[in-house]
Amino acid sequence: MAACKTVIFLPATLTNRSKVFRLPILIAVLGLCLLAPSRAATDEGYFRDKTISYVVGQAAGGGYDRFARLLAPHLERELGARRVVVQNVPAAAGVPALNDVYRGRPDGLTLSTMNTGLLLSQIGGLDGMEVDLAQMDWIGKASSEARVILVRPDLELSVFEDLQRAGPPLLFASSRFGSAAFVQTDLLREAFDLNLRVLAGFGGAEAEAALAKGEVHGILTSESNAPPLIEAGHAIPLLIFGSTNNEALSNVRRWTEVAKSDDQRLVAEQIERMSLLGRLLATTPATPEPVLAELRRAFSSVMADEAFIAEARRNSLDIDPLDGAVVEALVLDFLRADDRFRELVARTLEP
Amino acid sequence: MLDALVLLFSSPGAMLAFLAAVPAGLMFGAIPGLGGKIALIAVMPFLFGMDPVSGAVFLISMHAVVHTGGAVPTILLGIPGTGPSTAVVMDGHAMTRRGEATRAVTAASAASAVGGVIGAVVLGVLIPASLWVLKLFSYPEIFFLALFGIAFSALLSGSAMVKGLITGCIGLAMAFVGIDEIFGVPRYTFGQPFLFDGVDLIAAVLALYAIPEMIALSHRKGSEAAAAARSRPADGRGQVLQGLRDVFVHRWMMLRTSLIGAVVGIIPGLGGDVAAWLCYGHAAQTSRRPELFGKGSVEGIIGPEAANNSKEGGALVPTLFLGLPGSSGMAILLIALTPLGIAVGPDLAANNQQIIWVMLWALVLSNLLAAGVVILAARWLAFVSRIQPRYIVPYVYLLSLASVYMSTGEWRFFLLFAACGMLGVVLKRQNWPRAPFVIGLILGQAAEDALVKSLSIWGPWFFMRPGALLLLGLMLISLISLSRKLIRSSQSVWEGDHAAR
Repeated sequence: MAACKTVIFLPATLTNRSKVFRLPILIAVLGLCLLAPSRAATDEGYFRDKTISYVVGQAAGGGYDRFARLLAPHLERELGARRVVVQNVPAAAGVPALNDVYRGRPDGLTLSTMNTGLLLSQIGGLDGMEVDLAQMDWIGKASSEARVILVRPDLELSVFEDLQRAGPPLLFASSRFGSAAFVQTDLLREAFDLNLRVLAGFGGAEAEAALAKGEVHGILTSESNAPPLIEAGHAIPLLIFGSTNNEALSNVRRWTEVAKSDDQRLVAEQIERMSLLGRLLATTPATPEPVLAELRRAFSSVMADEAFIAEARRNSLDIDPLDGAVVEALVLDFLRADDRFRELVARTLEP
Repeated sequence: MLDALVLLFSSPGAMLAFLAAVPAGLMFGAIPGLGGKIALIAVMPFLFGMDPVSGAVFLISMHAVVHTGGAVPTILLGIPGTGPSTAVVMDGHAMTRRGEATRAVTAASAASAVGGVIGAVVLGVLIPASLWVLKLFSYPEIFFLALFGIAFSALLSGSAMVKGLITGCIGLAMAFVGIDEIFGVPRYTFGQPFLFDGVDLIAAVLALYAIPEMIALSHRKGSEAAAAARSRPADGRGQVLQGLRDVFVHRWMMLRTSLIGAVVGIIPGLGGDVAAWLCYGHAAQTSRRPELFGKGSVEGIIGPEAANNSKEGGALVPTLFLGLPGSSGMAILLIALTPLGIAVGPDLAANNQQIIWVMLWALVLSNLLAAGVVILAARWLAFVSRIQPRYIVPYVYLLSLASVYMSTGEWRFFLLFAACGMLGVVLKRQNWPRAPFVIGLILGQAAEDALVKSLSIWGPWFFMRPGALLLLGLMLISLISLSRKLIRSSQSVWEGDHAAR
C-alpha cells in the first residue's frame, strides 16, 4: 500500500515545466530496471568478504542512524559482505561526511545516507557543500513522510485560510537555519503570504515542546510527530503535503485545495516531492555499473523482505521504498527545479 | 506502587536485566567519553524480544548509574568519565593527590545514590504536574541559569580570579565557533566544514584534562598519589567511613543540589553539564570554606554528583509523560522504549501506570546498588591511582582518542583534540584554572541560544517573567554573598600570613 502511493505520485505531480523530461526519465528508469538483474548476475560475489562503510551524517540514535543499524546486517547478508560498518559523522548536518564520500574511490564500498534537506542546500548554494548530488550514484530510498502544518488550538484557526488572514506575526519554530524544516516553513511564508516569523534553532523535539508549552504558535513537522500533539490537545493540523496512512491526519486538507498562484503550487509541490525522498542511500559517483546494480538489487531485496519490514515497524520506522534508478530520476528532477524556485530557496538561505 | 516492586522482584527476567544493567552502566560511565547515550545505542539491538518490564528495567537502570561510574576515572585519574563529571574533576583529583581517593569515591557514590533516589521521588511527585513545571521554565529561565553558572566560574577560581575570567572568556569564545543555528552566520570556522557544528565538547574536555594530567603523571618518579596514600594512616575502611560521614554532614546541601538537579533535568535543552556546574556553584556559595573549592573540597564532589544522578529522574518527567525528551540521551531512551511496546506520552500514566512505577523502582534500586558496589570496591579502585604511570598513560591516551573518534566519527577532530590538549598543558603549567574554560564552552552555547530565543519570543522584556526575575534576584544575591565570603576568607588568610611573619 505504502509503495503504491509513491508510484501513483510520480506522474501525478510532475509539473508542466518538467513534462519535457518525463519521457526520457521513464525510459531510463525502465531501461535500468530491465538491465539491473543481468548486471547483478555478472558481478555476483564482488562484495564477498569485503567491509562496507555506511556513513550516517547524523548523531547516533537519530532516525537515519536507527535505520542504518537496522539495514546494515540485512545488506551484509544480501551482499555476502564481511561487515557493513555504520559510522556516524554528524558534524555540520553530515556535509563534510558527504564531501568525503563524494570524493572517495568509486568502488561501492562506501555508502552514505543523508538528510533530504541537502537537496535544498544544493539548490540554494549552501557554503561548504562540495557535492553535486546529481552526480551521486543512488541506491534507493526507504521511506516517505508527509509534512503537516500544526497550530495551537487556542488561536482559533480552524482552516488554512485563517492562518493566511492571521496577525500580528505568528511565531513558527523550526530546526536549525538551513535545515529542510526551516527552508520549507520560510518558503510557505513567502509563497502563501503568511504573516509568520520563522524562528530557527529548535533542535530535536524542541519545536514540538515549544508548541505544547504555548511558546510558539505553530510548526511544520513530519507526519509521525503530529498525532501525539493532536491527541493531547496541544495542536490542530491545518494542511498536509504528501499522502499519509495516519488516521489522526486522514481528514486534514491537502495543499492542492488551497494553492492558487504559481508560486504556491511550485513550493507546495516541491515540499511534497521532498517528502517522498526519505532515508536516501547513495554511493560515490562513477561507481562501475555492475557494482551499483548489485547494491541496488540487494537494497530492493531487503526492502521487500517481510522480516525486515516487521523489524522496521517494531522500531517505528515505516518502509516505503523506491529503487535507485527511480530515486535518481526523482533527485535529478528535483535538482532541475526552475529558476523561480531556486530564487526562493536562495532567499531563505541568506544569513 | 508496591505491586510494581513485587513485580520487579518476582520476575526473573526483570531481575536479571536489573543485575546486568547496573555493571554495564557503571562500565559505560567509567570509560571516558562513552557515557549514557553510547550505552543506550550499544544495547538497543539486544532488546528485541525482551518483555516490556525487563526491557524498561534494563534501560532505566543502566542509564541511571552512568554518572556514578563516571566519577571513578574523574577522581582517580583526573579524566572526566562523562561530560557532567568535569565539575568534579578539580576537587576529586585534588583529593586523590592528597591520598584521599577512597574517601572521595565513597562520598561521590553515596551522593550519587541519594541524588538518584531524590530524582525518582521528584519524578513520582511531578507526574500530574509535568506540563505545568515545563511551562514554568523556558528560555529566559534557561538563560539566567546559564548566566548563573558562567558568573560563578570566575568567582570559583579563588585567588586566581583574573586568570579564571580570562580562561572563561576563551571558553566562551570557543563556544561561538560554528555556524550559528538561528541566523546561519559562520563564526571562526575558517571555511572548515567539520567546525560548522562548533567545538566538540568531548574532544575539548577530554583533551583539556587527559593530556595535561597524563603528561604530569608520566613526569613523576613513581606515583605521588601512591606515596601520599601510603603515608596516610586513615586508609581503606577509615576513608570509606569518612566519605559516608562527609555526605551526612553536608546532607542539606546535598538535598538542595539534588532538587536543583531534578528541576534542571525537567527543562529541555539544559542537561547534566549545566546541572553539575550550577550545583557546584551552589555548593561553593553555601559553603563555610568556599576558598577550598578547586583544591580538594569534598563539598565540590557531593554537590555535582548528587545533581548528576537526580537530573535523570527529572528528565524522565517530560520524556515519559509528554513524549518530549529533554536531552539527546532521553531522546534515545524514548526510541529504545518504543520497540518494547511502551508508548510514552500523555496517555502513559492513564494506560500503563504499573510500568511507570516499575521504572521508578528501577531508578531507585539501581542507584542504591551502583553506589553500594562502588563503595565496596572503593578501596581497591584506589589502587588505580597507585599504578605506575608507564602502565597507565598509553592506555589513557588511546582510550581518549578512541572516545573522540567514537563521538565525532571525524579524524579532523584529532586536530582540535591536540590544540585543546596543548592549551590544557599550558594552563596547567602556568597554574591557570581550566574549569572556567569548560564552563564557558558548555554554558556559552546554552546562554546564547536561550537569549536569542527569549528575545525572539518575548522581546526585550523577557526577563520580566516571574521565574526569570526570581532567578535574576537569586543570582545577584548569591554572587554578592559568595564574593563577600571569598574576600573575607582571603583577608583572613592574608592577616594570618602577616601575623606569622
